[in-house]
Amino acid sequence: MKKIIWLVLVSWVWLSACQSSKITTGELDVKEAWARPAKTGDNGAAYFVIENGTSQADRLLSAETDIASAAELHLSQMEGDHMSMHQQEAVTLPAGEAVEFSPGGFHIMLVGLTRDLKNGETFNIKLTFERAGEKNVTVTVRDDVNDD
Amino acid sequence: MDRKTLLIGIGSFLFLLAVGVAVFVFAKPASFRGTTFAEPYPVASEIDLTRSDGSRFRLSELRGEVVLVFFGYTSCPDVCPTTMAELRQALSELNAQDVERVKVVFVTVDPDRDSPERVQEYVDQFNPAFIGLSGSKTDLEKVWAEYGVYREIADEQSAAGYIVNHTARVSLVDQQGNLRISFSFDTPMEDIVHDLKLMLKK
Repeated sequence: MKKIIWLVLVSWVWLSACQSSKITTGELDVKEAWARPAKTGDNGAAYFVIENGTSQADRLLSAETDIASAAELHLSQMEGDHMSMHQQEAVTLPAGEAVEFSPGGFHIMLVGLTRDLKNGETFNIKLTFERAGEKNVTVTVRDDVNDD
Repeated sequence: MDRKTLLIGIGSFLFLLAVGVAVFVFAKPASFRGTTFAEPYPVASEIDLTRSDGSRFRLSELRGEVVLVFFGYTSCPDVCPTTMAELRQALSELNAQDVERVKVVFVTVDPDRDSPERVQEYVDQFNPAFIGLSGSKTDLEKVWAEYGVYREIADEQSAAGYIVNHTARVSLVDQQGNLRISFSFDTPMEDIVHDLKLMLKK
């Protein structure tokens, strides 16, 4: 009996140690920002990873860029057998966690591009967060991303 | 038992195990990774639509080639460009001879905004060999219905105007004009390459 209790205790400590892979940088970071090439007048999408290394949840409220007539927060998701896209008022960023913006999921929709996005070029997006305030993000245009 | 006998014993056991694993792995008949249609394969319905140069496109004229059909719209910022970029990448993994035997067809689900010229211009960005199609709503509705395409116009209060939610699968039509495989949006590009190579071997 004693042995079993020990085993349970040790496994529990070990498992909780494994789970606590929280991000604790103390900062909110936006990483690996990219977008696919697209043409003037078309719509595009920007993707990145937001790491909330602070101890409090935050929310992404809006995006702004001068390369499109509007930038909106959207979520693509499978509903049954089809893909739906919904505009989001905000995206919640839990404390210590990374939220991925990727094809077929969260993305910044770039509505009506005012210039071509060519492979290798960069542009800026200003993201506004509820707590972290404004952050300028440099987005790289890439056509070689295989998001599997 | 001396040490040598023991080693020989372990060695032969491992060898037999490796042979067994190899037989298991390689003897398995090659199978497709996408969602397959069961035999008898359904015949892919005719797609008879307008091309950007005004000529007619008929799917039935592509017998002998493998055709990948996707339904989307050119204002789509995320799912459609992702799928087109993946198909372009998938084709780049094939040898020159095989590439010639694969056609990619993009049929619009948004004829109000997508003219045949607009769709072709859109797919040209990914690969000028891709075929972009539009047509009258009546003609398209027939194609959507026959390919089981779900399509819903949604007002998401977006600056882009309305959004079209739609089926995001890629259908593979074989050299005989049968519907054989359907790839969901999250299918890894490698699986599409694998299935194309297998289909082209036949």
